[in-house]
Amino acid sequence: MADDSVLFRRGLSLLLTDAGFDVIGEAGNPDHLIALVDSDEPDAAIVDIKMPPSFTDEGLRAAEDIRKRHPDIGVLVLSQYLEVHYAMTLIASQPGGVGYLLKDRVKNVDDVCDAIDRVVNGQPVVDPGVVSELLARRRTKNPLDDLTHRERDVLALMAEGRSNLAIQNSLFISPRTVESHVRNILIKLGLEDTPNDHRRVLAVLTFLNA
Amino acid sequence: MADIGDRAFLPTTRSWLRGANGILRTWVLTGLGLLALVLALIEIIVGTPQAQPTGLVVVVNAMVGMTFVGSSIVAFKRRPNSLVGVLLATTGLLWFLQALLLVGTSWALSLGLVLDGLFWAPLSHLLLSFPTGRLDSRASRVIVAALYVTLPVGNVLSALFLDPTTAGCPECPPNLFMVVDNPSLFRVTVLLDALAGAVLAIAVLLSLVHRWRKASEPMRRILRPVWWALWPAFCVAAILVASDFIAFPSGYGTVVLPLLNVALAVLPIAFLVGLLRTQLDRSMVSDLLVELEKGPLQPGRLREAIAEAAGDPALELAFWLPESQIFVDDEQRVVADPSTSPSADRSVTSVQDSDGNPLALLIHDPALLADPLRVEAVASAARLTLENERLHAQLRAHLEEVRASRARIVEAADEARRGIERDLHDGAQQRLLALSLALERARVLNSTAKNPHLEGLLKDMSDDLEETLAELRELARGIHPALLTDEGMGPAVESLARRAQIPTRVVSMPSARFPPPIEAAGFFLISEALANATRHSAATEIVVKAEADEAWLIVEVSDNGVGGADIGAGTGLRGLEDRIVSLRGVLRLTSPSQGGTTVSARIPTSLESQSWE
Repeated sequence: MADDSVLFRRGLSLLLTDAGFDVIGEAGNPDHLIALVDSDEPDAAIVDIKMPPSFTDEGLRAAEDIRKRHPDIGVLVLSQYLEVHYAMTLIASQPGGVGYLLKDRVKNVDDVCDAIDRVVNGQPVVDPGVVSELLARRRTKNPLDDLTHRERDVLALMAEGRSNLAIQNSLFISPRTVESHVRNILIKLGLEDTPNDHRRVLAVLTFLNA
Repeated sequence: MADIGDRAFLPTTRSWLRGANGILRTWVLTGLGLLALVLALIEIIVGTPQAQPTGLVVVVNAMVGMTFVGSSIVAFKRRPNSLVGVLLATTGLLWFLQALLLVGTSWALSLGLVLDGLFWAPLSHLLLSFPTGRLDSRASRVIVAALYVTLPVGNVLSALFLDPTTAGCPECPPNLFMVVDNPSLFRVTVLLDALAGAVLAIAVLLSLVHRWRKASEPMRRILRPVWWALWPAFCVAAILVASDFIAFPSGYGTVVLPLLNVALAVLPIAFLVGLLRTQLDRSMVSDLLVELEKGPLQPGRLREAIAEAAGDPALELAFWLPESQIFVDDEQRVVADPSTSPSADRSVTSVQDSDGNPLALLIHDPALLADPLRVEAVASAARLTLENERLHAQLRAHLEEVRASRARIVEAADEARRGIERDLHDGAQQRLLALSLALERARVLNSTAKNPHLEGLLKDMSDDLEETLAELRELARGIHPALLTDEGMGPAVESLARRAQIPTRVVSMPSARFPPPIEAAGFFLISEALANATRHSAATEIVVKAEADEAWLIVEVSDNGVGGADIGAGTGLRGLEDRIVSLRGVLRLTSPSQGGTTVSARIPTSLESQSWE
């Protein structure tokens, strides 16, 4: 785990340890983090988006770096910025196993744990806040108007990078219902169906951002 | 007018005929004119009966004196400071006094013998000193002095031995100066006199040729009429001198003398033309003013125009650089201050501003000083232009300073906002996030203790904190979006458009990065235009475009709303205009009352051309 704020790093480390994770290393800058990852080969790395030296997008670049060196290590980027641009850049740069989560989510440790589990499993994670900003965008001719409420809920979960199974568990509906919702959504939005979670989330995000 | 100018320009020269003595001068000149008229009339009355072959000869003879005196009056009036008038008048009067020979009394005859041909002395003096009246070489001073001495002395010497009654004029009165009637001695003195006259005439001639050859073009312009009018007179005079040595056919005098008279009568007019020619050329100065009025000239063209108006193509213009305290020419080469190394063939006229500070130097031919008023006029025109240009340059410099200082203020404000945004993220937000972590930990710990009261409290605190964090994030983004600093205009504007209340399409955005002040100007223009459209336009769609080439960033925000927006109405657009103008950009608002508003800006993409500190 890397964050230049010791206070936040320590707090999150304790919280995750309490939640049953093994926090095996803490770093204050991207170089140290990569050295730790190289030596300890953890299941996942948690990276602050802004770190020394320039405090711009070191976290995003560190995520790419780690994924390039260790394609099976999941990387969760924590950010205080609710910006679609960063999330899209991250997701588009990697075929799965990366996630963009607002730091605010630490108010519920389960959300953080869930996100870590998903990147470890090679799935993409997009913060719900980012997704709701995309869905809320004002459009002159809004294709989302054609969707039912239920379909919009499903679309939001798809955009967050959830699998059909996760959607089914989240909304307490049957696998067949999920599948039919997904199919309807893809038809209404004119998107191609793909069994790949990552490609699906990218297609949905790109569509919503257009 | 000419008098006033001359007076103003040359206050220290001879002045018996000017200034407060204006009335006296009028009287003197009128007297001079009347005197010449009377002398001419006497000459004609006395001379006509004796004239051979016709009285016309006398009239022509009197006319010579009249033209000299008349020209002298004009010269006095136009050039009161020049000796030219005095010399012309003296020549004319001496000419008239030769007619004393015709009067028929012995004292008049005697005086006439002494004064005969004396006019050549002031005439030669004039020829060698024209147009200033100053003899500027030693040789010419020697020649003129010799003339003034030799001519009267020669006349007196020959008069000592001349008895006109025995020398072919039986009806003539006696010569009072005669000591002894000795025709052979008389013959010797006449020959000596003629010899001296011939030598001096040749000296005058050589001196004139020398003057002409070394004269500059502006000087030649003044000398030319005299130069051409001189030769006939000289030729005829040479024949007369020769007649003292060689026997010409009898009666040649009736042909040659009138010719000499006509040739001499033309001379003073030639002097006048030369003298006044420069004055006629003053119209060139008004041409110069007309040209200067059209607008700023290239430094080179300014020199040309001034040289043209001054009538000296070789005129140089040296501009004063107050910062480095040197003079430079129109190609920025340093010009040595000519006043420290005076040169005989170049004169220097200094051009000063109204406070007496140097502006420039005109380095020109000394001949131009023959018409000081014209030089003064040219210098004034140069002063007007240079002072005007200097004021313009100062104004431009001040405006540039103001612009640069505005740019610095805007940039400093941007920097401060970036600082606040960073502080909010790194300070307050980090602490609140740490607090959020602690609360979550407390909630997790409590989940085993199961205190429902505490659980509710922790949940409320956590929710409040989440809202606070969201508000803080919005606040920081509003102050200065980190996305703009880190990722540039494109992502920042996309983010803005996504969150806009009115559907907003971003049609184009440059992918290149620009200096922070330029990106900030583009971003805040779009941000302000979106906010204005949201508040006032009732539009259903906004289109944002931004394109950049090497020189310009062009940003445009248009809506399909009600229109009628005014740049002065809200402080937002006014402030934006300041920001954009401070970058040498242009902001334009098109908002017809029939609908639709377009805010656009052109901003230079480079700060390099600016005096950026």
